[in-house]
Amino acid sequence: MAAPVNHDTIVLERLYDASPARVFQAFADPEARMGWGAPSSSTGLVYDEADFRVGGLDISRCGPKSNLIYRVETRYHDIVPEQRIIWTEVVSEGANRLSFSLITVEIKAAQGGTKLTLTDQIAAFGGASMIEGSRAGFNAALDNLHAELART
Amino acid sequence: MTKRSVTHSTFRIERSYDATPEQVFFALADKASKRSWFVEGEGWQVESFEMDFRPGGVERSSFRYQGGPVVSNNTVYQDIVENQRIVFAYSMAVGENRISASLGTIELFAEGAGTKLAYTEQGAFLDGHDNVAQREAGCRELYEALAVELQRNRSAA
Repeated sequence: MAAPVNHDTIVLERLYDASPARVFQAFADPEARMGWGAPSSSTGLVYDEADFRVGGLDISRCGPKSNLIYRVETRYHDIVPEQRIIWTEVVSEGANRLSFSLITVEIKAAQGGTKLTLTDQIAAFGGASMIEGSRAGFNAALDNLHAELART
Repeated sequence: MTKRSVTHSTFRIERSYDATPEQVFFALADKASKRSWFVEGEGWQVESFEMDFRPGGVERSSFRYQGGPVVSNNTVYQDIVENQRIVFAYSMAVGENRISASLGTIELFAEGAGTKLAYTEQGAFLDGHDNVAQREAGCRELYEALAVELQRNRSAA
């Protein structure tokens, strides 16, 4: 029998000292995402395909820099420029699907900058460790985005 | 300009059927069987129904309720374990307005001679066009319609 699926919802918030347009662009542009999307300096994120539009598909690989073992398939479901992006992502390792997430990023002008809320509604296959992995990964990436926005 | 909002919510429906997991899976996977319980409800007029049941495959349907606006469902299947699990993403629109994006997990568990189906929906409901109570009620009706379909399939066999 297939193991039961673990479902969870992760909500992360950040306040960025940048305009909603710049924050939106950091998500819309795959080149920019490669700069901040990997959780640490020892991990990598490479986009093989990118198509940022409703119905479009991105294919990326991530993991330790020397061994990008995870494949991520991203499909965009809703895009409202400078306000909202909704996508699903499937994370696999070889033939094994590890998790499937519905992710909503909401972007709002706040306190002279931008408030970002990321909601990750995740279904994890074969154990709950992918839920904590997903939380840690997005937490680190959103922190990196802070540095990226301050730098550019 | 549309006032943008997102409400996130998760619900779970469990329903037991007097049918084997294979029979329940068939009604979820077979295009003709699925069409009959999923879109051909009373008072609904089906405009289109396409189904490509495999990981990465797309199902698109559009329908109207008693001459109302076109409601469309765009589903992408992501994970399929025969007779056990189906995971998919779907978005719904009414006319030009996207009203929701959701992740659906259907799990089938053998239960005596029958099957327990557990449906978990993790939804994002958009711009005040829809809400979780309405969606959950709609899904419960669908899983009741599935019971009728299973009965019909059994009578036909």
